[in-house]
Amino acid sequence: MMRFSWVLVAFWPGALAAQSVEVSTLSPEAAAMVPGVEACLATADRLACAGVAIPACLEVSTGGAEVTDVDRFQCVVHEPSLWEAVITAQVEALHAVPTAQQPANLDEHPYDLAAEMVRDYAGALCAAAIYVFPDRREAAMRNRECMRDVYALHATTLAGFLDG
Amino acid sequence: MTFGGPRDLSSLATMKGAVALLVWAGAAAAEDDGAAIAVLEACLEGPGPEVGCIGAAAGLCAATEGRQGGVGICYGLENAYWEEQVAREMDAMPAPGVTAEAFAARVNWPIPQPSLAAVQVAFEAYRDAACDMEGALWGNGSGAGPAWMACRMRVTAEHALRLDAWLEDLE
Repeated sequence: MMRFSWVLVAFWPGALAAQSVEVSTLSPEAAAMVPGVEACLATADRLACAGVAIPACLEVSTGGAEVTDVDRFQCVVHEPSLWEAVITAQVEALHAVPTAQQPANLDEHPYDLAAEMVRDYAGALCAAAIYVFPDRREAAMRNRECMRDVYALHATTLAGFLDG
Repeated sequence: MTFGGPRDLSSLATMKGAVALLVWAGAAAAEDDGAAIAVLEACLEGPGPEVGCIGAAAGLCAATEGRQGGVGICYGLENAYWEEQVAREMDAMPAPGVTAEAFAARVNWPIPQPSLAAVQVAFEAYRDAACDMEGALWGNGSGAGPAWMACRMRVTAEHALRLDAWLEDLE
């Protein structure tokens, strides 16, 4: 008998609340951005979370003093590591879902492979910024923004899964 | 198989009718597909963020009355469009060349060193891993196939838009 199951299996209610980003390995600037990013990912507007926490980073790095281009650059540089930590926490949350509640074909944990591949992809794609921007500083900035955007979209997808 | 009697001729006529119907339906679908892609392209040229246009053609295709084959076909239609964009954009990307490689080495550009071939390989590996993951999350349900194709369409579209943005910066 053919069975249809159009409804995505809601097998991990509350898993998002259980995930926590490990901030001890992050720079103070990156760690400062974690709460803002986590809050953004919990909203319906999670596609717009890349860069959302830059003001929190600037607050830490400048201590409230006037913000310079160097300060902004430094915060952008720290963003990819923040998003990598978010993805790591999300994958851990997905692993924490009891096996019995996971679809049978999730035995091989495809989240791990996807997380590994997104790093390779971001690294390769965003390294190409150097073709496009002859200025070293501009290229470095675009490289980090590119990596942030790639990671953020992957994290957005995982956040959707975690929401069930 | 031979067609010798009246009954066979009747079957042949029915078969020809069915073939004609399929050809007509195919032509109508092709026309609809063209309209769906045109809507997507109009959206991309519009004022809003391009990322918001992803899925526009698939959505219109899926909403077409009488569409056969399910929404997976529609995601495949739009995915083919984005794959063409990626191929065109990769061709337009400047080759690294000696200058860029020397520059990358001089400024200690982060590993991996830039390579268009590496970009393509890494993209395909990521797309496959991400979409296998999304398909798997549907278990063995009938939604797994469309979810997998929707993922390929979305990931390919995002890749195409990133490349396009860089090409615009080059101009």
